[in-house]
Amino acid sequence: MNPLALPPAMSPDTFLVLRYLLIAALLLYLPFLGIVIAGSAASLALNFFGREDRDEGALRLSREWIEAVTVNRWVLLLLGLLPYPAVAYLCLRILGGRTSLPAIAWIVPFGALLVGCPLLSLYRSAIRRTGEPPAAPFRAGTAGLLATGFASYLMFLLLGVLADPAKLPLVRSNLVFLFSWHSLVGFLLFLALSFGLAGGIALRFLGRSKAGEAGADPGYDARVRTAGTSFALGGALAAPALVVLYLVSLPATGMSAGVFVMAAAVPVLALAVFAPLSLLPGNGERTPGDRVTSLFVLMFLAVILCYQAAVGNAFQGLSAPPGPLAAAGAVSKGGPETEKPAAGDAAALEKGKKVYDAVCSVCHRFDVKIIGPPYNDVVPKYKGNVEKLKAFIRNPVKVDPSFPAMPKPPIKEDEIDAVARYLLFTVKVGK
Amino acid sequence: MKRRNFLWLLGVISGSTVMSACGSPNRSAKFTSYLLPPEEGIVPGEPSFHPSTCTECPAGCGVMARVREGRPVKLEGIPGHPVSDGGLCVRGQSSLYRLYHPERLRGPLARNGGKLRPISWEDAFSRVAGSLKGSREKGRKNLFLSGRTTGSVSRIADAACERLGVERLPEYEVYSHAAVKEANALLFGERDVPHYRIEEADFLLTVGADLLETHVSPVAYTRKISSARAGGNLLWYHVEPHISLTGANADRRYAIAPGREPLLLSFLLREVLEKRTPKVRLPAELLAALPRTTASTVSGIAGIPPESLKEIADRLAAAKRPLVIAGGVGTSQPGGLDVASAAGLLQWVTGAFPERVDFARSENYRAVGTLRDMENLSARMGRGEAGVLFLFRTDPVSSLPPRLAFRENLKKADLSVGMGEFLDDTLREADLVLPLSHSLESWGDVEPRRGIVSLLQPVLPPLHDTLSDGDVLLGLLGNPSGKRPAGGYRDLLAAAWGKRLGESGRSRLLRQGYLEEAVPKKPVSLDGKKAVSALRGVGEAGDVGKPVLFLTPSLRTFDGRSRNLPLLSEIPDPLTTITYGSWISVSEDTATRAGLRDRDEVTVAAADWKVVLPAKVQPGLPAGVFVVFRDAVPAPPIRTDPRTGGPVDTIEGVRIAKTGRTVAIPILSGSLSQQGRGLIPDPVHREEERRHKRWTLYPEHEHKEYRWAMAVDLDRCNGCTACVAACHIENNVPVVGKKDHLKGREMSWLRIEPFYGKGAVDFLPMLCQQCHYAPCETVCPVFAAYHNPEGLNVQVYKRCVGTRYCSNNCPYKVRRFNWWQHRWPEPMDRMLNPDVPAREVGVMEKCTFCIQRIRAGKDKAKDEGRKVRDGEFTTACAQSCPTGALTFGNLLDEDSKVYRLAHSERAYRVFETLGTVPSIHYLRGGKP
Amino acid sequence: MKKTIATIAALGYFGVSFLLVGGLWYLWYRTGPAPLQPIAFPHTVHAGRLQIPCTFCHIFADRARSAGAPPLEKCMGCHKTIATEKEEIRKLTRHYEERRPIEWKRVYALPDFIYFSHKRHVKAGVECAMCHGDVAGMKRVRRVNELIMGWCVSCHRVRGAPRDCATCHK
Repeated sequence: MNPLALPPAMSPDTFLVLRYLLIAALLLYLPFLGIVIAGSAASLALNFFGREDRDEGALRLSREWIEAVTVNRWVLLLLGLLPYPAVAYLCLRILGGRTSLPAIAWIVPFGALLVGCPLLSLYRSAIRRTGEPPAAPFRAGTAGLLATGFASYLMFLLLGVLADPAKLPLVRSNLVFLFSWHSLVGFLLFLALSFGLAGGIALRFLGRSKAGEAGADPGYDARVRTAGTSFALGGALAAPALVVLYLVSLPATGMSAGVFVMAAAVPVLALAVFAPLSLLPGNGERTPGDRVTSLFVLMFLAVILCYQAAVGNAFQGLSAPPGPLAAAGAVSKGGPETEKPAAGDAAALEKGKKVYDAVCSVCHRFDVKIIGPPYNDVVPKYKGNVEKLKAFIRNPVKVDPSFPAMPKPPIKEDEIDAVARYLLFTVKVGK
Repeated sequence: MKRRNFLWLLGVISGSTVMSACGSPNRSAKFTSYLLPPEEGIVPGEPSFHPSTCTECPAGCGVMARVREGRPVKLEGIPGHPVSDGGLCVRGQSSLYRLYHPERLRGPLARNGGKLRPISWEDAFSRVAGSLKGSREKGRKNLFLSGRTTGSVSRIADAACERLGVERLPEYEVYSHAAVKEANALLFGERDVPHYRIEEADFLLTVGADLLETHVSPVAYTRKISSARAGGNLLWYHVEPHISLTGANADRRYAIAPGREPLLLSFLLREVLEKRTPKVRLPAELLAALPRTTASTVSGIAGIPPESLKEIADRLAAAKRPLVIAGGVGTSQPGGLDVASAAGLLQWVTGAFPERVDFARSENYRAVGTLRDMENLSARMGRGEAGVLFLFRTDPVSSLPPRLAFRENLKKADLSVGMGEFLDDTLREADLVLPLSHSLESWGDVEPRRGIVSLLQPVLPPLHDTLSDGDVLLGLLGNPSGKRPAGGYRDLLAAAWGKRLGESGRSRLLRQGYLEEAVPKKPVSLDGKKAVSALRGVGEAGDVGKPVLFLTPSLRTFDGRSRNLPLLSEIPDPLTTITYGSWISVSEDTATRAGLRDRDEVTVAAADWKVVLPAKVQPGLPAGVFVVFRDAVPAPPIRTDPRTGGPVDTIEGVRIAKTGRTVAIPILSGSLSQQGRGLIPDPVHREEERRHKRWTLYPEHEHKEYRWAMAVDLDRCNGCTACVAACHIENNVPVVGKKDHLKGREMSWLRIEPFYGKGAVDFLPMLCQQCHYAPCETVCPVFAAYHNPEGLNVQVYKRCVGTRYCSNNCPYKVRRFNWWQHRWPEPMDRMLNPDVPAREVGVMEKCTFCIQRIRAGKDKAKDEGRKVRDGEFTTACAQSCPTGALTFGNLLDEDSKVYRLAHSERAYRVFETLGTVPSIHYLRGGKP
Repeated sequence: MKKTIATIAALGYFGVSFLLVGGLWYLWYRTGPAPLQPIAFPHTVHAGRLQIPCTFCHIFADRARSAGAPPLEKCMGCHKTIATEKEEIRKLTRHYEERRPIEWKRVYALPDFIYFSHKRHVKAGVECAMCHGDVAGMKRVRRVNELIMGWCVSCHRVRGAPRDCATCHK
């Protein structure tokens, strides 16, 4: 593929369909991936400190949290791995095909995922069996977390190329240029929302023992509540700032009103998360988990839509559809092919053609109406009389009411002569 | 601290690193479309060239103005112009600063209630008309005083004065060459300064005349002398009582006791009469007027060794085409007329007329009056005889000695109308100020000498509400309604040219910028009787009492008229390298005796005049002689020479006394001696230049098509610093001012280093050597200095972070750092060359070999599908050099001039032993 | 008390970020990639429907460093008689009659320290659409890339154009 080629223009419908599919895929994938990362991070941290301090509650939370976010091993593996090829395929398709980026750009993240998800699954199983897993699965879990995190960062870099597709030739020339600031900020925003969502999950699904129930542990419930709340608050606080940074770092070609509207939703939603959790007096809500979770999912949606709006804008007008003016820059290819004129007139006809190209072709073609009548219709009326045609060109008068008045062309006398000869010759020879 | 806290801290710190906000430059710029398409040949972004004439001094060199987007950004000499032949001096280059000076008058002003307030042109002209009528009724005289004015403006002024009944006074110039004119008038009946065709001479003897600096037409003389010397055809001896740049560059320089020039010249005259063949007879009484002396007597009195005297005499006698020129400090002494007359006689007896001294093409100083004329004027004004006084492009208030009381008497005129570009001392006293357009904004012509018409054409519309010289005069003539004719002068000029030069002549003038006309031949005869009276003082024993102070013109400000151009203060004086401030040059002898060092403040007193100045020790200055630039001291006590009417620019019997203070004046050169480093090699250093193979760790640079290099001919370079001014303007080099100069932070990319040694001064132009193995490139941490494939050492301003390591490592110290964000006050920002970015603060800059010109040259060549030809373009410094000392070109082109010069026997490089392999090849001097 | 401060701080923070988003929107609207032009010139009509070649109006694209906007006289050449009833054309005519050149908002602006020669690129065969995108399809011209140095260099590298810093950095 031509290394300089930009993403080729595709029909707007195809583009729209691909983008909607991408939105759907991202909406499905990103929250899940996010809570897997955030939940595993929380779980590993709690486990680490829990073991050190011999804290039962922490260990229990560590186990429950990762169980909650990953549902079960198969969900983790399937939902963690399978959507990625879909996302990658859609990205590449939008960019122009399988070869639009070097394969390594989308294979490496997949490889990292293939490493990370099973490792996390290993850790998860280990932690389920014994609340206090030995060192190896723990390290496996950490490795898995890092790998998954790295994979998601790379995926964001890939998604970032869509927001700045003019950079595609640059990325192709050196993969180092995959990095962009808006991808990084996007990734951080993703992490913030993920942590928030993980907190919401914790609030929703964990530590919900009823008073008096068997195994009820108010201390543990409080713990869950604290952990969940702090994660949710952290995400809610980080999100607005990161969204502003995201807007600042997005390339200007991606901007439009839609982007800002979607982005503006995030501080509002974040406030909706933040306020009840921290500000209202009393014991506040009993079950904030529902609200927090749904608000964070909405925030995910807002950010994904904002990103997609940017992608749509960035592609606007980027590549010209194939057509006569696609490679515009040269003088128009007006005028039909003519047979060899008589030797002496060749220069005059050459000159006349130049005048036609530069001045007359704006309004006239030989075979179709552009603004003025096609030459094939009007020039024969002069019956080969050069002087009559020259007189008209010098001082055009309105002849046919169905055409606008011809303005006086800004050409010199010798050019009038040349173009008149050219027209008479060309139309006489005809097509 | 605990582990977790440390990790937390680390995260916070790294997280708070500023994220660059995708640096979008200012994208809200507007751009304007044309209304009509630009005329044929004008392409936006490409410069157009228009010939005009420089008006910074009376010499009238032709300039080609390079215009970008409707404003001139650079002035160059016009190759082939009869005055300058492609060169342009330091003042000419800087005259662009005059055009864009923020302090230029922006509209007419009238004195109202003691202060000058703006009025309209209509009101101004009607006021003048009213005053003219009024003063005529009162029986007062209306007077018109101007500086030296030639060409059509002079004719219009004459016509205007006649029509309005205004008396046109003799023109006022500080340097009016009164002695030379008086001598020529008495001897040959021609009261003018002749045209000296130095290119026809084989031996030139100058007495005091500073040909290379300010005398009459310095660029022309410089050019002629350097080409004649380069061809090996000219030997030049210079006699002066002090030391000047001119003397420093002559083949031999003789320091003569002040005031003894008449004696020397009459001695030489007798020698020539005796020894020269074919014999020339002088009238008997004239011969009798010349004193009889012996070489030893003259030598004793004049202070020139007898062998030297003999040598000068012999050369003068033996030369086939000798030329003697007296002027400058030689003729502005009490015995000035004697000097000028003796020189004139020498010209006569050596057969210099008309081949080498030509009155037919004289320098048009005929209408210029003397100091005595100004005395008379001041007296008339004092008596209340002046009605309306017009002051046109002249500044008598700041240059006349206070005893004339010109400023006070000026106030007694009914109405003083000042016409000029700035509110100088004179215009500040005027009642009505009419601002004039700069010559680059006006139509006109200049006749620098008879037989040459040099065009003045506007290359931009007037920046302020000003009128051109001709339009103002036409406006004064005006019509009864008082409305000024807009552009009427242009039509008048066109008609006048058409009539005088013919249609083809006029179009040639407009195209070329100049036209040479035929002049009627003038036979010259010697009037013996008058000559005797001219030589009256030759034999007198009178001498100029030492210690004596010479008030000389300055290379950088001429007679003071260019002193408000900031660039000219920024460029150092070539002999002393002082930039800002005034000083008094003292001899080494005086300094030792008085215990003076550079910058020590001294009181200079004579009779009833006193001034306080810092001292500068000037090697080569004879004992008892002091030099101060004339415009450096306010109100100097200048006497009038009773015999010529001209000024006597010497103050005798001065006393110097230390005040004990030191004055901070910037002296840019670290040392006036080479410290034995062989910058300009003497025979000792020739051994060191053997080029041995150098072993290097760096990969060899390959040059495919071009390798830019420069050759500097030290024989030709005379230290005039025209190149420095050209570089400043071409490359938007800012003027940094006195404070930075005091810290040694000069900004000019090119400097002229004077080195004194063995009684001579050598000038070394030092600029970035574009070293092949540049020490600066290897130490830049951000790769802002790198070597480009064409042999240039390129500085990428956007990469530079300002570590200044490169400047540290440069052995030539040619890198300049922007310590400040320099501002260009409106309208000076329009002077910036758009091809060169203005550097920000914190960025290193240096000579780029005018890479913008290289780029443009290659662009043009590429359009035509060929390589760049030698001489197609050149750097700004090389282009402006009046002597042709700098040559720029492609070293890979074996036919190029620079290749030839670089491989000549005289070629060497500075600090060759350091192994930097510079691209600048210096050609050592071969002075006898 | 603390609660009040906390409330105000929180509301302040969220409020500020919301306002910042709004501020950025406003900034974008004024100086973004598709600025509002004084006259709503549609390339879709001229370059698209009428297929007028780029160099017919942008006369200096292959002759000078900067392509520039066409001189008003070019527009009036046709619009003296064509579409004169439209408001935009009337605006255009007023500009021409009052001798007021139009001040277009710059869409592609390189910084001052960069030397970019349109002539060299057009002569080297670079097509207009490669850098300027599908102008014929734009009702209002928008910038389609960020004009970063790496983007220029990547093309130079592939096409063998000079990559010497001094080629572009003045």
